[in-house]
Amino acid sequence: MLDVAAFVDSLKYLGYGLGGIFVIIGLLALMVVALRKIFPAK
Amino acid sequence: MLHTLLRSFIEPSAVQWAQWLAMWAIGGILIYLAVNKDMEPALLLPMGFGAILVNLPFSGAVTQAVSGAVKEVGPLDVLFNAGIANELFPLLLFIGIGAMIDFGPLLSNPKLFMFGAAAQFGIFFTLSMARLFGFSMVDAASISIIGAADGPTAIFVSQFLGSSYAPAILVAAYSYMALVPIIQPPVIRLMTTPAERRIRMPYVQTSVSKPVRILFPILITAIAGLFAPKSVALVGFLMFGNLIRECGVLNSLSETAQKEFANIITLLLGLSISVKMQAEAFLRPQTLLIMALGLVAFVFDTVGGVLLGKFINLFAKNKVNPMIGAAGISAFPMAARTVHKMGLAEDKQNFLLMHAAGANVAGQIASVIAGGLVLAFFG
Repeated sequence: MLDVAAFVDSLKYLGYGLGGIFVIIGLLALMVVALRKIFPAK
Repeated sequence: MLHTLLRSFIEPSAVQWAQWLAMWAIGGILIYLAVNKDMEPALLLPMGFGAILVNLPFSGAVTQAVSGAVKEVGPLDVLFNAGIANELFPLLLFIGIGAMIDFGPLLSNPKLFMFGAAAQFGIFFTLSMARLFGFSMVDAASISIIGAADGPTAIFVSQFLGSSYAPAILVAAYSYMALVPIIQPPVIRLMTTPAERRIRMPYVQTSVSKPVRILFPILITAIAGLFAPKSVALVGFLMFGNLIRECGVLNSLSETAQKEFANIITLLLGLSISVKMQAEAFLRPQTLLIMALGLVAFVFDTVGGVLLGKFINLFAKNKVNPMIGAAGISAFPMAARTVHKMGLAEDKQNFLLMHAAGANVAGQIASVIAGGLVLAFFG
């Protein structure tokens, strides 16, 4: 028995999850860029 | 002795015997895959043996009720309660994994972080699919974490959420991780054109200073912890292992964490998870469904990563080979190797390994953060 209503309702977590992970990972990437500028390789 | 032998054969019903025989077959298959196909042998072999061990009549390896209330505590239950029920073993294993990972290719090219994020698409898509097939929200979230392509994260999240499907989730997670070289290529081929697969990405070796390598694990833990506090145990143990590796003053600890320590924990993990592979809990129609959903998770992780590569190419002057997006799943280093081999198959001068490795270690970080987000939503 397929629960289409539960499927549709859960799609919001697809948005929250991907949104959340891109924001956090984006910040981590920016942090690495900043670190490399502050502590450049000799 | 004869009495015990007769009791073992006569007392269980025919159905129980059929279930045990099925579990012995499953155990045998896991051992075969580990030994003959070299599929995650460190975990599948103890799990396979454990599946047989716990499905023997009146097995002394697991807790048995004696005359109703009195219980004979089995050693595997002791191990399970000591290391898996409280999520300790997967966290300790993360120290070893963190010590094994060289984040250099990612630190050289931080843009690769985004592929790690995109390749978690399968987690959240599978959550919805599991809901479609009638799983509760907690079980759906636990099943979706197969898409993290990371065994310890799968154990940690499914145990934390209290899912009764943890063993099936774990078998699926480790089996598909080992099957990455078989699962990913057809999906990548379907999603890309030969011209896209031939895109060359020259690798410019840039060195990363020691302060960056040391501050990276510390700041990752802090940032991930601030945004997703429930991920901090996962991220923190992983990054602690990496800090041991990169600090330069704990080389012997780093080597121990990578080898003996990780091996011991893996051994105990595989054996103790088999407690949950007792026939009555494991042999359910849902187990097959979970295996199918696990495949969906890996396929859509790959789709998510490749799609990001194609999206970037709409705007970027220097095109990326969209295949490296597929390496953004956490399965390390299988995903990176798979992409590298596919690049070489299209063009013998196309060396994608370092880019793919960067995306792959980004996937390692992204998958634990995704696990933390799942815990934040449903924990």
